[in-house]
Parts: sequence; C-alpha cells; structure tokens
Amino acid sequence: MMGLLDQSSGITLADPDSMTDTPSQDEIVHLARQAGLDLPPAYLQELVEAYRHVRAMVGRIPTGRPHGDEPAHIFVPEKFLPAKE
Amino acid sequence: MSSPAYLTIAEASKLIAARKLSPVELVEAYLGRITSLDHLLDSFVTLTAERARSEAKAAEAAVMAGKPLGRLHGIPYCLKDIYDTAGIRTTAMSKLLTDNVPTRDSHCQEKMAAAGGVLLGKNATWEFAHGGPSWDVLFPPARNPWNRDHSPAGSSSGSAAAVAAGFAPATLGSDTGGSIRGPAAACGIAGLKPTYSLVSRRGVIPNCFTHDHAGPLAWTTEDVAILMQVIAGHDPEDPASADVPIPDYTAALTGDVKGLVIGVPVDWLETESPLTPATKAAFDAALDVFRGLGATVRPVVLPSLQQYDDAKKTIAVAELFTIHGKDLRTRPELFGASLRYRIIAGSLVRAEEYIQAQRLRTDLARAMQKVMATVDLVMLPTSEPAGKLEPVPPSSLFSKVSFMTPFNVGGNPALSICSGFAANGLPFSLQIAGRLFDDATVLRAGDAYEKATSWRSRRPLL
Repeated sequence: MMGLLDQSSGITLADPDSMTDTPSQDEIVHLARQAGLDLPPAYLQELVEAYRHVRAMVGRIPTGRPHGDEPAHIFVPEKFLPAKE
Repeated sequence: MSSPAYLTIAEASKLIAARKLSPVELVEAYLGRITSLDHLLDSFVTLTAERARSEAKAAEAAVMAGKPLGRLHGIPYCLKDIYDTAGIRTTAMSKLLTDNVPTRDSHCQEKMAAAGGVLLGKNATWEFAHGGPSWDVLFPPARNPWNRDHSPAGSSSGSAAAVAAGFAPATLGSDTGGSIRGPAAACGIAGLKPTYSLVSRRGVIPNCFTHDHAGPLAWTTEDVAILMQVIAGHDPEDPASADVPIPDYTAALTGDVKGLVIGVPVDWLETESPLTPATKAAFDAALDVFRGLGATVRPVVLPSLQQYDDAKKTIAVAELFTIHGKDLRTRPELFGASLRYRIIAGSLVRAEEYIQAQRLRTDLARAMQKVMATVDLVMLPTSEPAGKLEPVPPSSLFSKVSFMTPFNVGGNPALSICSGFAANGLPFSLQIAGRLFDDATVLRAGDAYEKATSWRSRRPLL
C-alpha cells in the first residue's frame, strides 16, 4: 500500500481508502464473542458505535514499515537486574 | 495575614519553621473550609479529618521540640482517589472499587508522608481517570470553583478544584492525555506533567501504562517545584522509573528567562485546531511577557495533532481493555456508561494494530525531540477556558484532538499555568513544554511568568 508523506515528520501515513472496511454489526458481535464479550443488547450497541470510531482511528495509523522497526514498548533487560545497593 | 488557607506552600513552610504558624491552625483552616464549602464543589470523596488533626499535632510537637523538619513539614495535601492509601478507601470513583481499601501506600504517598505532609483526604476524579464527567458512578463529578456551572475538566477534577478553592495547598494527580494540565487550566492553577518516568506510578491505579504520569498541582509553579522535589526519583518497583539525578527544582527558579528560545506550533493553533480570538489574544499577551523578559519566540513545525491522538488513543484503548477486560466480561453494568463506551472497543483492537500504534508513537516522540533540540521550550494554550459541566457524548474522546496529548506521547515535561481570565471570569491557560528531563527549565519559565504578572492575586469566591 502506498501511503501519504507528512512533510513535517517524515512519517508515512496510512492510505485513507483502507479505512472504509468497517465490519457489519453481525461481524462485530462475532468478533466480540471471540474476545469473550457476551454483551446485553444495550452494551452491544455501545460497542458497535465505539468500534466505528476506533476503526477510523486505527485506519489512519501507518502500516508500511521496515521489518526491523521496533515499537516504543520494548523489553529492557536492565529493569530485571538486582537493585543497586 | 489573611486566612492561612490562602498561603502557598512556600509561605506556610517559612511561617511554620519560624514558629509563627502552627500546623494545627493550618489544618483547621482547611478542614473548616472543606466542611463548610465542599458541598458546593464535591471536590473531595473522602475526608481524613481525624488523621489530619493527629498528624498536624505531631508536626507541631516536632517544631516545638526543635526536630529536623521535612520539606512539607505540617503542610496539608490531598490525593486524587486513584493513589493507594493504606487503610483509606481508594475508589477511582468506580462502583467496582466501592470497598477497596489498600493495605500499602502508593510510592508518592510514602514520599509525601515522609516529607512531613498532612493528608487531608482523597479527591474526585473521572472514573478510573478516564471516563467522565459521569453522574452514574460512585460520587458526583466535581465542579469548577470559578463558576459552579462549569467543568473543572478531568480527570484530576477534584484535585484542581480543591486547590483553586483554597481547600488544600497541594495535591497529586495523574496525566495520561492531559489529566493534570486540563484541570489545572480549567481551575486557574499550576499543574505539571513531569517527564515520563521521573515520578513513580507504583500504587497509582493505571489508565494506560505507556502514557501514565503522576504529578503535582498547586496554586503556584514555585509550589509545584517544591512538590516535585519530594516525589521525583527512582523507584525500582515502577518498571518505567528512570534512575537519573534529581536537580534542585526550587533553586532553578531564578526568574531569569533571558535568552531562552520559545517555539510555537503555529500550524496546530491556526489551522488544525484554531484558537478562539479571546484565547489567541491571551496567548499572544503571554508571549509578550516572555519577550519582555528577554526570551525570543519563533514558530516550530511538529507532526499533526491528529497523529499524536491516533497513536495515543489506539494504544490507550487496548491497554485500558487489558486492565478492565475481566470486569467488562463479567459485570459491565458496574462501569459508568462514559468509561464503558470509551474502553469496550479495545476488545477488538488487534495485536498488529497496537504494535503499529507503538511504532507510530516512536516516530512521533522522535519528531518531538528533534524540534525540542532547536528550542528551549514549546508554548501554547493548554486548552480553551472551561465549558459547562454537563454530560458529553462519550464519542467526543475519539473526535476531538488535544493540545496536551503530544507531550504524553513524547514523554516531555509540560506545565499548565494561569494566564489571565476570560470575560466570563474563567481562567485562560498557558502550557509550557520542555526537553526530556529538563523539568527545571519548564518550572523556571512558569515561575518567571507568574512573578511578572498579577494573576496569582485573584481567587475564586464561593
């Protein structure tokens, strides 16, 4: 997928056309059950509505990355060394 | 001297050390105001009056015995109700934690007590420091002391309202996307989101691990610096805690900002999220104060607010669901509707999406540091003056960008201070952000501005 370049940051943005594949309500119910959520109808409607917002947000996040691009949340082994005296 | 309740920490500490003010007298002044006025603001959810009286008596005895005094000796303070306090209920405003009484103090509470502080009680927050304002949680939302029909913002709502109202000179809050700075701005006080990892979060109920910060709120920047001296420092029990030297924050308050270079992200303020004319005028006036003190101001270009928001909120919704998933699966009815809406979709964020958001966070944090290397500080309003206290659509979390979130993503220190008052009497705010671990320069600038202006002489009338 080709992305857009944000000139200020040099970050490649997601292609907006990729954001339109919002799952149907039935698909969201299925996904929720897979995630262990068996919600009453009122809360299910909250999930369907909220997920549309989250989907749009996630869809704007760039995906075309080099294989070795580390995320921010990394494992730091020094944190597991014994405390200094 | 007017009521001791309006003394700053710096002023009260000098008087206590000189035996001109008793800690007992001071704590009674605050307890009197809280018991007679807090029904107007709902800023406290738990008052620890007897404990406070007992601690104040002990503090007074130590003064009279000539014992060494801690940095906060006899100074009353309160804590956002997400800080664990041994033997004192800690609820996060949630029905899920109605009966939660921790057995151990949070790291910050240990530090505040060891410095001689006197705990007054626990402050209202948004549920789990995230969803709100809410009327369907354990306690009612706090109100803004400048106008009770207006919001104190969130999530450290009660903390900021209590300090502005003269119910306490000090409090600790938390900031994941602006929850210290937003309430400080709305209530016209000073609030610092320190550099990420500088203050331990051990014993603070989490919101989003990778963006959570603990930090102080007070009437003045000088008092914030005093509080930072007490709570900053390495804690091996917080996995993110930095092991770095802690400077003398109070000594850094020289009043001198001559030669500092201030960057202004004009694209954010003029194009992406334009300021109202009144807020722009207040911001321009604040920059003029810094120019008058010898600083220079120039534009800077940062990545878009939308990118910062997307990265932070995607990470947050996944981490929030990780924290609350068990309860959402088994007893979702105990959540307030606002919080439930804001975290439930985290169940459907895929691991790949979370990791891509973390990669974006790395890029955005690097971009922030690249710009910060070219200036000493970045300044912008914290937010527009406070809006009405009324239910807001929970979807607004996803649709509104924030001037504060970029500094959570970058981890940079960011201070909010009062920069005047709107025609309706509500405070304007100035946000001052700095380089990583250079909290001292941020505090120096905030203190210099406060001392060059007269805004600290105005208090809300209840």
